[in-house]
Order: sequence, then C-alpha cells, then structure tokens
Amino acid sequence: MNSSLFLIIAYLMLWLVLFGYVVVMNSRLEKLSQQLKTLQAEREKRE
Amino acid sequence: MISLSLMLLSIVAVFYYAPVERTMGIVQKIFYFHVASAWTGFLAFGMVFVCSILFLWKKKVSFDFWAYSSAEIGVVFTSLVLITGPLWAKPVWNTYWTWDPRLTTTLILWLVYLGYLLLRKMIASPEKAARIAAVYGIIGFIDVPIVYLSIRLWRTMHPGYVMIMAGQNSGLHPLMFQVLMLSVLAFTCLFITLLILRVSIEKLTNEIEQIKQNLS
Repeated sequence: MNSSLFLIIAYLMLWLVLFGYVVVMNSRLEKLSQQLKTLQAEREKRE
Repeated sequence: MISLSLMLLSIVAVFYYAPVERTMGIVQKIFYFHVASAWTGFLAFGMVFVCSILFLWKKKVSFDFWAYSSAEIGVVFTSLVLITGPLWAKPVWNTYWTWDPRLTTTLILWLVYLGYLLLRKMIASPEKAARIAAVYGIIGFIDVPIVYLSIRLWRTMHPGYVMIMAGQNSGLHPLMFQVLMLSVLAFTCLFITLLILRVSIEKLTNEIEQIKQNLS
C-alpha cells in the first residue's frame, strides 16, 4: 500500500475520533439540559 | 474557536511548512499529531493524578469532576496514539504492532484508564465511586513515567525523545520542531476546551441528581 494512504487514513481517523467525541458530548449536554428543564418545571409545580 | 483555529493552522503547517523527512517520506507527518496526542494524554492523566489527590485531601466534589472528565479525555487522546502509531509503523517497520516496551506500556496505560472509567460506571454509589476512583487514579499514574522512560529503560525500536528530555540529540529539523510545538499547543488548547465542556456535563449531571433526590 502507498505510504501516503496511511497518512490519509491516520488523519481521517484523528478527525473522526475528535469530531465524534465532540458530537457525543454535545448531545449529552443537550439531553441533560432538557432533563434539567423538565425537573425544574416539576419542582416549581410542586412548590 | 481558538482551539479550532490552532488545529487548522497546525494542519496547514504540517503539510506546507514542515519539510518531508528523508528516510520515511511523507508518512512521517503522522508524527506531529501522534506526539501531540501522546502529550495531551499524559497531561490529562497528570490532571487526574493532581485532582484525585486534591479530592481526597480537600473532600471537594468539584475536584472529582475534573479528575473524571480528564480521565475520559485522556482515554480519547491515548486511543488516538494507539490508532496513529500503528498506521505510522506499518510503512516504516513493516508491521502494525510489535510488543515493543513503548507500545506495550502505552497499551497498558490505555487499559488502566479504561478500567478507571469502567470502575466509575460499575459502582452505584457516587461518593464511593469517587473515593475508589481517586485512589485508582493516583496509583494508575505510575504508568505515565514508565511509558515516558520506557525507551531509556529497555531496548526499543521506537524513536527517541523529541520533547523535554531530547536536548540537542532529538535529530529533529528546526522547522519540524516548530511545527511539532504548534501541534502540541493546538492539542493542549483543544484539551482545555474539551475539559471545560466535559466538566459542565458532570456538574449538570450532579445538579439533576440533587433535584431528583429532593423530589423523591
């Protein structure tokens, strides 16, 4: 296999892992923010 | 934004500023992100070590948030080291993997911190998980200097030091060294950004748990 192909795969993997991690973190953050809003609304309702 | 700009700048520098290495050719350009990922992994695990000590000493839960978040990010960057390393090794050593001391100790380091993350998921009580993980995080850090010194302690085919202990013997072209430093800076900024984001997730989770407890 051509050595430049290894370079391309390595860079693609690097960006895939980093972007993948950022996307997963953002979706976790979004989900938690939504959950927090729901819980806060429930707490206000009880008070 | 700064992290993204620095990352893009470092890519441009890697491909347009850094010279092509004579023996290995263009594939050597993996080196800039391979070393920067390894550095960030060490930094993250160092952070776990410091925050774990502070957590056990001060008993402040925020130190645990920083330690846990750092461990997760450290595993991500060490995974990158273990992905980019074999891709660099194949055209140069003609094999993806060899049980070389540097490679083996790095794999152990990755497994140690993967164990740290699993441990946290397995223990139901958050307080107990934090205490046990802090002790584990402190002991686990022992592998970091072992990984770093492995090329001096044992016979290895892995390239020598290029940072910190390299001195005049790194054999690195000045332009290559400048690009490496830029990559290290970009990865460090990215680590800080990810860490802040990850800690905010941890704080939010904690807040949700407290509200849930109050409601029940």
